Amino acid sequence: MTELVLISHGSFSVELLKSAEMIMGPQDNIHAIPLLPSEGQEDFLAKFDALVKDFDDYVVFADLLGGTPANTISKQIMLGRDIQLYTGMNLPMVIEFVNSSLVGTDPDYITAAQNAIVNVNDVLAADDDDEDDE
Amino acid sequence: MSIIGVRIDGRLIHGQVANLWTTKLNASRIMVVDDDVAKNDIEKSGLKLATPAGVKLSVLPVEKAAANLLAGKYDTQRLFIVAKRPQPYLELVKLGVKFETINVGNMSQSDVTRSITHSINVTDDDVKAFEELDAAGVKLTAQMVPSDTASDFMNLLRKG
Repeated sequence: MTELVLISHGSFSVELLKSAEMIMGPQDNIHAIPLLPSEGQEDFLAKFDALVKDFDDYVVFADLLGGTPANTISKQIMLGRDIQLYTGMNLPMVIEFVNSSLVGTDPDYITAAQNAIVNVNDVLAADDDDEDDE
Repeated sequence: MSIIGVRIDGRLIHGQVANLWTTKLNASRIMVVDDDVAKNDIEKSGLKLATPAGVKLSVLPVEKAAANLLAGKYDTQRLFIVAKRPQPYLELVKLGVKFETINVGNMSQSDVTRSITHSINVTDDDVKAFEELDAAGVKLTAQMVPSDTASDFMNLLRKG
């Protein structure tokens, strides 16, 4: 079973997990690690390593490319560790993780994230409602 | 008929229905059965916006839904039906539509409901409709998300 690790500045990761669970029920294999204002890269890496040490297979979503949580893990990748890391995490990416394991397909996190970012006004303006009475 | 899922959900198409159940069931069309919503363009646009890309949507009043279903209009599709409460399904059954199982998801609270589970709240009229559906041989389950076990809804209702 693949585990998902959410990492963020402050409690975004913790609350993102709660929001995902509100929609999809309890998620035992999704984990959140917040970087607290008092913590540096070393503290954060220690928390990360304590979590992932027993995982066979995991993927990491970080809140922000260039931020400390992502930078800490990027450095580990550059040091040769085999970690899959995505930045710019959002709820559609977490849903893609849950759904792909539910239906047994390969996840495509970037497409899932991009498809869910729309200007609703444009979508409504382009709306052809010829099919909804069928 | 190619009905692959039938759900009662007071929120119709929302996070659980759009992202989770539609994916799990591999639905190609979501049908919302609701006489009021079918007449309301704002509600219909909102439902369309919430429908996942690549999935078709029908928003129909009960009679049109029954006519389409009985005419076999969706035979080549994977149809996922959603209604807010049990009454539209009871009407569909009376019009000759056959359902094997109806899954009860969310039914929201109001002044006149009582709670069956934390997410399912029913009125006396709902209870009557559920009992009639049960008597008509429709299996009623309660399952919020696919990872939950499906419970026997009539047992929950009788205990509640």
